Amino acid sequence: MRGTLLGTLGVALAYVTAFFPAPVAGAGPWLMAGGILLLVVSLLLLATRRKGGKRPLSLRLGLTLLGLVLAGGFGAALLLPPETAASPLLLGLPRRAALLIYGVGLAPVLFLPLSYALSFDATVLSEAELREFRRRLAELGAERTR
Amino acid sequence: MSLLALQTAPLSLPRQPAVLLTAAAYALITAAIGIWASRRTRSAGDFFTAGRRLGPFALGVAAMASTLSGFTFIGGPGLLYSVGLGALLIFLPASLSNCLSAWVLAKRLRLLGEARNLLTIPDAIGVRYNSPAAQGLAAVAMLVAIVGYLATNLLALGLVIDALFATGLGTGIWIGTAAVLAYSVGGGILAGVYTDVFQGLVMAMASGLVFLAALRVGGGLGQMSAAILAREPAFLAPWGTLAPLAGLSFFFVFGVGVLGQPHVLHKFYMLKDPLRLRWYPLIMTLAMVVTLLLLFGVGLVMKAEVIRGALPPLGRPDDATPVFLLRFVSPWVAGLLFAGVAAAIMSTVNSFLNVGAAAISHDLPQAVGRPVGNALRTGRLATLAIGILAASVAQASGTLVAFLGIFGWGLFAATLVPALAIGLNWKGGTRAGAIASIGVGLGATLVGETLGFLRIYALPHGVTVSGLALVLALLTYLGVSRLTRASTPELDPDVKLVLEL
Repeated sequence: MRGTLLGTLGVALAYVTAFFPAPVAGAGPWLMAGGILLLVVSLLLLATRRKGGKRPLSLRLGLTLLGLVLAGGFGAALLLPPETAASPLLLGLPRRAALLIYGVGLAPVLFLPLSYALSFDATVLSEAELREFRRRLAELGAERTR
Repeated sequence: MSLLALQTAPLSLPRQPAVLLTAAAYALITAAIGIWASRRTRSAGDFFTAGRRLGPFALGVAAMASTLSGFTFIGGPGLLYSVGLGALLIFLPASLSNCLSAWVLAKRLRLLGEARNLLTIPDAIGVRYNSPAAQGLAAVAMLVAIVGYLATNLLALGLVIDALFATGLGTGIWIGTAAVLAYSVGGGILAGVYTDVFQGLVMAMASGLVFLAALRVGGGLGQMSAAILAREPAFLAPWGTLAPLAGLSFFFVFGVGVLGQPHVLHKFYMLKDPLRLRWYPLIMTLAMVVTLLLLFGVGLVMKAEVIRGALPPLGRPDDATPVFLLRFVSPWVAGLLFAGVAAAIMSTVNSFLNVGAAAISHDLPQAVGRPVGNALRTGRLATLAIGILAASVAQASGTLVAFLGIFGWGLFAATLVPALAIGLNWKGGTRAGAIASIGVGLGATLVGETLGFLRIYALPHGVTVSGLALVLALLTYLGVSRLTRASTPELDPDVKLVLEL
């Protein structure tokens, strides 16, 4: 939960900076980008936390890549110099836009749904867990009617 | 969020026979599916949760169709044409948000639905916190957003019908409303999801074809970028002409806010086998990315063509799609695309009608301790009532519609994300935290949007009311839950079972 709280605070601080002039306001986009990254990844970690279980490699890989593309895409968009008429293109777009659109907007499509599918049994629900869940549910129902 | 208001001005659509024939064929197929599904609707479970018999393909495509409204086809390309690539920050989160909602909410909502036979999203909040008050407050917040969302969508549908068939706007609104109500009242969400699947496929196919046409007309992405870069490099900046904070704020609201959209989350209850959630994010994400290609392609090619002098500047940004279709694609593709626009609007309207009707006929009576007897009949009547109310609002006042329509997504996000997304994954969340966060989200959104709409106070550049309200609601939930932890009763055993799974 610490990550979720810190991510939320990052976004909140980003909004606070907008009420101040430069240079404070300049920190806003960085705080917002960091806050979003932390919030998204921490929510995923919270949702995939399992009793006594280590997260499978496919999930760890997926989350690491997600963190990297978010940090890389937002970081590049904020850090690299603005484009000019002579700026080179990367896959048909100026470099900053290409890194943001292909990185943040497209790359996760290639690995995140697969990471979800491959780690499904371990991080979401396995057949045995569903069976056990339904058994316990039936037990609770029987206890209630007794 | 005013950038996201749906279509409110007349559209200039081509009235060629091929366009009209395609639109008419689309309407007939939708009606046939609606009638078929209506005959299979026999219980409240069928009406509100499609009898829990959907597969992952139907779930993914229907969820995509409900998520994307007509804005994707008309307002989205227009927004990109006017503010540049920054408009994409609204849509970029789609690459991760479906996985986020699948991991964070899909399993728990589906299993909680099975354990307690839940019908609505406020139901889940009520059960999680053992609190009719939280359920009722969530339902009220949803209703406020739903009436506005519905009114703007019905207005947009009226504009499309008027533009195609010259019915006049008022008649167009009522024809569109009657068409959606015809299958929504009879078949509820069961009719809705099967028409959504057809509508989603139409949307994806039309978007893919139009995107390819845009690349062909523009000479490829590189040629379009080179033309724009030479004259307006800021257009191709990652934030376009928006401030970086504004662009990132869009990403925050639409990336995290997806965890509070009841018309989409509600569909998780409908899945037949929870183990088949495995492929849901892949199907939903691919369908969404293909459908979103249109706004990227059309917004970019129209800007490039105007800069090259091949087209005069557009009178209104929202003309980007109609002008592109008129000039550059065959009438059959144009017809398919306009069917796609109607499909996007109708699928969204049906979903909202259903969750709105459920709030009226199920959540609010439960919250006051007086559940209704015949839930199917009451649900149908509530669907009819909310549809007529929204159409009346759409027809009565353009200003009111514009105001109501601007904050739907943000209001859902601010009121539902903390209690739902965090609450179903963290046992530390408390009833007081949930009620306080829903109240803060609702209050902050309504006050902020009203002050902005009446021009009494404007937030600094880059700060959106919806983003601010969402962050305030999250902090309220975490803070109040921490403070009230000691006095919170134990979770019900079945709820605990779901949270621990």
